[in-house]
Amino acid sequence: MRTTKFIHIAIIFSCFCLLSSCVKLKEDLTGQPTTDKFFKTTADFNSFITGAYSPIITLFGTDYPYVAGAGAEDVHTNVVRWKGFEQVNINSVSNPNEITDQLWNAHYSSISICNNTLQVISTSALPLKELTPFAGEAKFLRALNYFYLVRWFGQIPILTEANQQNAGTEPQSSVADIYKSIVADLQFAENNLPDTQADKSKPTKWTAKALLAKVYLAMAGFPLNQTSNYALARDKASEVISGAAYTLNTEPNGFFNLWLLSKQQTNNEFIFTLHADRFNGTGGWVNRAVRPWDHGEQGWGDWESDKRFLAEFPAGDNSRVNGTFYLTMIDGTSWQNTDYAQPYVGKLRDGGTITGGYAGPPIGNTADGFYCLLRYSDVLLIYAEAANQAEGTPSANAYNAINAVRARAGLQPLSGLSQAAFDKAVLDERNWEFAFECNRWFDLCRKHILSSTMGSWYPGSTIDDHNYLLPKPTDQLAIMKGVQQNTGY
Amino acid sequence: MNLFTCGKHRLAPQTVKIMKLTVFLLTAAFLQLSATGRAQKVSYSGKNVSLTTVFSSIEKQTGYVFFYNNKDMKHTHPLSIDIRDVSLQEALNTCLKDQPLSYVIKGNTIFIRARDIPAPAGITETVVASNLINVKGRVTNEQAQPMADVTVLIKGSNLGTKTDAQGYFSLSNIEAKATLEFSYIGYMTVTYVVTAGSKDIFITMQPKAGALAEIVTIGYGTQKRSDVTGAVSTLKGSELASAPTPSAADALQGRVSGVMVQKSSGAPSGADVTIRIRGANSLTYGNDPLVIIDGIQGGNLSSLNPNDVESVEVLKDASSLSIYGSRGANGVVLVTTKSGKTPKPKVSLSSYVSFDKVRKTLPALNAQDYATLVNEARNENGLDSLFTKAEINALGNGTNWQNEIFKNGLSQNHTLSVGGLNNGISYFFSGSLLGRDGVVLNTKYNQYNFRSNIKIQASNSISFGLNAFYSYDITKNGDYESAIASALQWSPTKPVYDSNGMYTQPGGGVGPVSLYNPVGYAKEIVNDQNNTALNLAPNVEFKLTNDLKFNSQFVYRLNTNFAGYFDNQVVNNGPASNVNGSVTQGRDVYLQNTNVLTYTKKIKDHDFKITGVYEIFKDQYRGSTINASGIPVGLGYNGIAFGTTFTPVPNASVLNTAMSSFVGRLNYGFKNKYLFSFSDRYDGASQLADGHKHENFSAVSVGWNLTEENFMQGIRTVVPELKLRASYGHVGNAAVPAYSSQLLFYPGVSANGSPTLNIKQLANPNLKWEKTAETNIGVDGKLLNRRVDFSIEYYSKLTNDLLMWQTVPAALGVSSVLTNVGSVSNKGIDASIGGTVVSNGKFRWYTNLTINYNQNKILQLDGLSDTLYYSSKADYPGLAGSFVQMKGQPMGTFLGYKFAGVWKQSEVSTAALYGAKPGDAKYVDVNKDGKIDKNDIVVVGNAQPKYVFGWNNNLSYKQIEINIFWQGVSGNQIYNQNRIRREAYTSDAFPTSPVIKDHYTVSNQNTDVPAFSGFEYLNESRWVENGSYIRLKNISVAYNFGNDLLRKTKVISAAKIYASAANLVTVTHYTGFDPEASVGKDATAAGVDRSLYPSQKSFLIGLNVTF
Repeated sequence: MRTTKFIHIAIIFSCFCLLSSCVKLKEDLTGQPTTDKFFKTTADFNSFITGAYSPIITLFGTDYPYVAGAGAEDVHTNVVRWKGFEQVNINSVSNPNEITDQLWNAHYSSISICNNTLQVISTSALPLKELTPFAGEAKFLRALNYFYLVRWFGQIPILTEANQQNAGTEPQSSVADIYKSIVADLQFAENNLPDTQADKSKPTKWTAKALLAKVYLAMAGFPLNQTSNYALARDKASEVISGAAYTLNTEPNGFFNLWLLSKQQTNNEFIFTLHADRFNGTGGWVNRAVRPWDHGEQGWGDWESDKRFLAEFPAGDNSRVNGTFYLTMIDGTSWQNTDYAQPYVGKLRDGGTITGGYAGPPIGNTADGFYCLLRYSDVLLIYAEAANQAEGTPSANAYNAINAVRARAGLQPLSGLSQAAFDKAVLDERNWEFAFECNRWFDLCRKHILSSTMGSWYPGSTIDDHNYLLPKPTDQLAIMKGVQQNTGY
Repeated sequence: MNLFTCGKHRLAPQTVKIMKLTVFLLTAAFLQLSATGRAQKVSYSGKNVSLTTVFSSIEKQTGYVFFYNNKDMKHTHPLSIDIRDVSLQEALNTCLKDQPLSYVIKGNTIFIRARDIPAPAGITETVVASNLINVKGRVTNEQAQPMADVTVLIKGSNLGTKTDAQGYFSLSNIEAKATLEFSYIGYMTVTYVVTAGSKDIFITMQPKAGALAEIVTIGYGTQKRSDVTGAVSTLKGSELASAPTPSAADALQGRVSGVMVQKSSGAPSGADVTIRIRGANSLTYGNDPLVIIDGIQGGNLSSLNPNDVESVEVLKDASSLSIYGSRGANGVVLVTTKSGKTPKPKVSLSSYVSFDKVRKTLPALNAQDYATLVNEARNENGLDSLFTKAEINALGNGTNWQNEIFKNGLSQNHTLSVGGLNNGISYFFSGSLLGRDGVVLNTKYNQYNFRSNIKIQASNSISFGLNAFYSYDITKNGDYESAIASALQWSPTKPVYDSNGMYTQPGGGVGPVSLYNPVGYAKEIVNDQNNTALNLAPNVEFKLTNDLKFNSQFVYRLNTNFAGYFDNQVVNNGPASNVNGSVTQGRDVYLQNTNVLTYTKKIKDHDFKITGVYEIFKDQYRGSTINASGIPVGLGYNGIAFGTTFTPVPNASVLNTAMSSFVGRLNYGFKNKYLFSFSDRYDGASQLADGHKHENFSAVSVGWNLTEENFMQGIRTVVPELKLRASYGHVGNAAVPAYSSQLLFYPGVSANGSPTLNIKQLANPNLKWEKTAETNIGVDGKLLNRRVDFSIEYYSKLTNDLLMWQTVPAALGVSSVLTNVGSVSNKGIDASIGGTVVSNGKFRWYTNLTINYNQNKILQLDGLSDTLYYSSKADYPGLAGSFVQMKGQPMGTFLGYKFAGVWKQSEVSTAALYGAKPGDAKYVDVNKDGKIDKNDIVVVGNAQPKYVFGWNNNLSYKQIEINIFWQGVSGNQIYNQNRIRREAYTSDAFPTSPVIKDHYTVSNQNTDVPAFSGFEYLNESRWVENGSYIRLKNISVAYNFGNDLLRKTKVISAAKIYASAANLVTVTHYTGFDPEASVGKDATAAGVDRSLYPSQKSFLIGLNVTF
C-alpha cells in the first residue's frame, strides 16, 4: 500500500516535470519584422521610409489643414464649430484640439519614422552608399514636416534620432533654430537624393532644392525677418529652374488637367505630391467635404471658397478659374443657386473613378486622391519674389518667372513695376495660383499682413500677433513638459 | 433512529416487512411512475392454506403488494381454493369470500381491512381502511425555492417518499394522524402531524449550522460555507432559472452583491454584457472577471445555458482570488454545471417563447412640423425657404424612421437534458437551442449548445471524468448601427423608397448628408458572424490515501470565428465596381492543464487542509481577413475571390501566449471556531517583458465563528449563526495580448505600389503585472431562527502599476505606449440581506436585497498629467477631448461647458459682455474671467454608478410561484450623444426631435433650446443626463401542476408553466432608449449612448417538464 502510494506520487511529480519543461515563456515573434530579422536589404529600408508618408497623406486627405488655414481669403466654412478658424478668432473655437491634434500628431508621427530610419541607417551593416539616398529621403521628409509644424505652431521641440526618446522633456526650440535644422536637413537631402525617382511620390534632389527655396523665402519673412535669405531663396529657385527638371503644364486646358486624378502622375509640373489610395488605408474624404450637398453633388459642404475671393480672382482666359473653382453643379445649376451660394473647390474634388471622378457625385466616404504640396509655378513665383526683394528691383528674370505663370492663366504680362508693386503682384499671383493648396495663410503670416488683410475681410475682428500661430494641442502639452502654449491661448 | 420502534406505536413485524416493500413501491410509484405492465392473471391451487400464503403467491404473480395488519389475520381461517387465470379482483373476491375482511386496491398495493368490524377501543395501531388518507404537499427551502430529494418519512415506520424536482411529494393511504418527518442533508428535520383535513402540506426547511452545512466551491477545491474566510457569494442554479434569461450572464444581474452587470445594448446576440466585480480596477485591459466553468478557465457566460447550471460562486476578495494570482484581479466567477444524481434517468425539458418589442422609441417630428421648422431655421439664418406652403401641406406625417426599422421580435429557447447516476457512472447531457429575432429589422441570432458531463468511479480510489461542451452560434445582421444612427437623424419628409422603388438618397437640404437610408442599411448590408466553441476536458482523480487526493484536468478548447460582410452598394446607389465585402476567419486553440494535490487532516480539534497546484496554459490565435471590391453583386461575400480589387495587404496574424503557475494553500481551523488561511501563487506569463515575467501573489485571511463560542449559547435562537472574517492579499492582472512588451509593425502598400512599414507599437522592456492589494472585512450571519440571513462586507482595493496606454508625444511614432503607471482605488460595501417575510401554511414570501456601494477613484495617472485625453469612438464631431480620465475622479469623466440655458432679450447687455446675443446658448463662466472659452470646460458628469442594487422576491401560494425582481443603479451620468443631432441645429443635419419646436424666438424666450441662429458649443452639459434607474427586470408567474394530475400522465413527474415579463417597468429620468446603454466600458467611452441597439420589453411564456 505504502509502495503504491509512493509510486503514485512519483508519477505525479514526473508528470509535473514533463509538463513544466514544455512551457516556454520566452516570446517568439514569429512572422514579425523584428529588428534582427528586418533591415537586411535596401528594400526593407525603402518600405520603412515609405511608411513616413502615410501620416501626412492621411492628414491632407481630411479637412484639417484647410480648416486650420481657413483664415485666408480663399476658404470659407459652414461648420459652426469651425467658424473661429475662418474668422481669425481661434479663441472662440470650442475645441481647437479637433484640428490641432491632427496637425501636430501627423507631422510628428512622420518625423518619428524619419528619425527611426536615420537611427537604423547609422547602425546598419549595409554599405553606406546604398543607404545614403534613404537618409536623404528621411531628412527631406523631416524638414518638410518641421516646416509645416513651425509655421502652424511656432516654437516646438526639435526631435531627431538623437533625442527623440526624450520627447516628453525636450524643451521647445526657437523658431530660428528650427529653421536652421530644416535648412541643414534639406541641404543634406539635395546632396544625397537621386536625380530622378521611379516612384513619383518620392523626392529627388530637385524636390529638396525647391523646398529649400521655399524655406529660405519663409525665413526672410515674419517672424525671423532674415532678409538675407531672399538671395538664398532666389539662387535655390534659380537652380531648380535652370535644372529644367520641371515644366509648366501649358497644354490646352493645362491648368484644369492638373487636378485630374488620372493625370497626376504624368504631368511634369508637380514637384512633390502625396498620393492617397483608399484601398491602402490612406484614402481621404476631402473630395467629398468640398462639395455641396445639393444639385446632385452629394457632398458634405464642410468648406468651400468665398464668393468675394472669386470676385477678385482675375479671369484671364478663364483657364485658371476653371481649374481652381467648381462653379456649375452636376445638374447644371450655377454655384450662386446652391444652398451655400459660394463657389466650390475644383482642385480637390477628384476622388478617382471609383467615387465619381471629377464630374460625378461621390459615393463612398473615403476616396483616392492626391495633394500637391509643391509645384513648379511655386518655384517660379518664389524666384520672382526673392529676386525682387534681394535685388531691390524686379529683374527681367523675375518678370519672366511671374509672367510665365500669368501667361498660362491668360493674363497680360506685367512690366514696369516698382519693387513694392512687384512684390504685391507676386503675392496676389500666389494667392490665386495656389488657392486651396494651403498656401495663402502662410503667405499672409510670412508677410505679416494678417491684420491688414483679413481685418477688413472680417470687419469687427481683432487680429493681433497671437493669431499668427495656432494653439498647441492641449493633450500634447500635458505630456511634453518642455513645450509651452503659445501666447494668447 | 430505530425505524422499527417509535414510542407506543409498535407495529407487528409482518406489517413492518410489508411496509418496507411498500416504501419501496411507493417511492418507485411516486418518483418514477414507471407503469410497466404486470401479469394481471392469477392462478392458485391449494388446500387448507393460510390466507397469508395465498397473498404471498399473488404478490409474486402480480407484483402487487398486500398491506394488512397481523391482528386482522387472527380472525381469518385457512382456505382451500383452485383458481386458474382469473383476474386479480376475482382472485381476491374468491379468497376473501368467507373471511371477515374486505380489500381496497390503491396503486400497486392491496389493502386488506376488517370487514364491518369496528376497531376495538384503545388499539391505535389497527390499520383501518377508512382512516387512510392521501396527502400531498411541497417542500421549499428558506428562500422559498423548491427542494428536490427531501426524504418524507412516516414517523415510526420506514414508509415514505422523496420530493420531486419541484419539491412536490405525495403519500397515499397513510394513517390519518401520522407524523411526517422531512429531512435533508444540511437542513433541520421538520415534523408535521397529519390531520384528517391535511391534504396540502407546505413545508419550509431551514438550513442547519455545523458539519453538514452548505459546500461552497472555491478555487481548486471546495469548502464548507462555515469555514469560508474570504468573500464568496453563491447563487444556485434554481435561482438563476427563476427568471428566464437567454444566458447566464444576464441572469447574474442584481442577484449577487458586489457584482454589477450592465447590458449595454439590446442586440440579439446578447454579447454586450459587462460584468464588474467590485468596480473596475484597470484603465486599459481586462476588467472582466475570470470565468471558470467546471475548472475550465476563460469560459464564456454568454453561451452558458442557465438551465445547465448547478451553482455559481463569485469570488470577490483577495483571499479567495489570490489563488488565481495574475488572473484574479477582476474577480472570478466559478460555475459548476449539473451532473447526474438519480438512478433513474431524469429527463427535463425547458422551453419558452418570448415576444419582444422596443422598450421605448424616441419622439420624432412629423414631416409637416419638420419642414416648417426647416424653413423657419433657414429664414432665421438668411436663407430661402426650402419647402413651399403647398409642399408642406402635402407632406402629412411623413416617415417615422424608427417605426420603419423597429419591429416586434420573437425569441425562443428550448433545452432538453438527461442525467443519471448508475453503477458509479454519472452522466448529464444537455442540448439547447436559442433563437432570437431582434427588434431591429434584419437582426437575428441563433445559438446551439451541447453539454456532456460524465464521471466514472472506476474504483474506490480512481475516478475519471469528461466534461465536454460544444456551442455554435450564428448572427445575421444588417448594418443596424448605421440604421439606428440614421433613423434618428433622417428627415421625416423623405419616403423610404423613391418613385423608382430605389432607396431615397441623402441630400436635398434635409437630414444628414453623410448617412444613407436607414431601411437600406438594415436590409441591404450583410453582416454575418458565427462562432463555435468546443471544450473537451478529461480529468482524473486519485485518492492516494484517505487524506491525500490528486486531481488532474486537461483542457482542450477550440474557438473559431467567422465574419462575412457584404455591401451590395444598393443603399448608396454605388457602381458595381464598388460592391465590396470581407471575410474574416479566426481560430483560437487553448490548452490548460491543472494538477491539484489536496491533503486533509483532522487532528483532535485541529483541521488542516493543504492544497498544491501546478497549472499551465497555452494559447494560440490565428486569424486572417480578406477584403475585396468589385465582387459580382449576386455572389455575396462567399464570392470574394471573384472581386476585382483586393486590398493589397491582407490581414493575417498569429498570437502565442503561455503561462505556468505554482500554487500553495493552507487552511487551518480550530474547533470550527477559529479559521485561518494562507495562499500563494507564483505566476509566469509570456506576454510580459523579460525579467518581469514572474510574480508572487499571496493572501492571508482569518475567520471567527462566534456561534461556536459559549457566550453565544444564550442567544442562539436569535443569532444562530454569526461569523467575522478579514482578509488581505494581492492579485494581479495580466490580461494583455501577446507581444505587448515588444516593438511591432504593421505592413502596407503605398498608392504607387511601394511596400510600407509602420510602427504599430513601441517596445516596453519594463512591462509587468498590474497589481491590486485588497483588504476585506466581512460579517455573515443568520438571525431569528435562521429566518433572516445577511452578509455585509467592506472592501478596499488599491491597484498599482496600472497597465495603461500612456499617451506619448506623437514624435515617438505612436500615440501611446503600454506602460505600468498610475493607480486606481475602489472602496465599497457589499451587502445582502434576505429573509422569509411570511411563511404561513400555503403562502410564503422570501425577499432578498443586494446592494453594492462602490467608490472608484483614479489616484494617479501617468504621472505627467492629471488628465488623460484619449481619442475613442466616443469622440463625436465637436466632442474630441470630452471623454477623459482625471486624477481624483472616478473612471469615465465627461468634460464640457456648463450649459445654463439660453440668453434672453432681457439679458442682452450681459450677454454682450460674453460676446453673445439673445438666443445663444448661455454657459457658466466657471473661472469668472468674463469670457467663455476653453478654460471654462469642467467636469460635467461621470459614468460610474455609486450604487448598484437588486431586489428579488419569491412568493408562493399553493402551486403558484411568483418572482418579482427589481434592479437598478444610481449616481452615474450618461452622455446622450443621440440628442446632439436630434436637438441641436448644426450643419450636419436638421434636428428631428420635437424638442426643437420649443426653440428660442423673440416670442418664445422661456426656453432652454437655443435659437436657430443662436451660437452653441456641442461639448456641453446639455447632453449629460442622470443615469440612475430602477427597473422591474423580471416578473413571472408560474403554476406547478400537482402530482395527482401528473401521476395520471404516467410519464411526467413535474411540470410548470409560467408567464413572465422582462423590463416591464423602468423608472428613470434618462430620455434615451435605455439607461444601461453604453458605447464602451470603463475607461473607453463608458456611459456614452449613441446609436445603440435599443433594449426590449419581453413577454414570455414557458414550460418546464421533468420526465
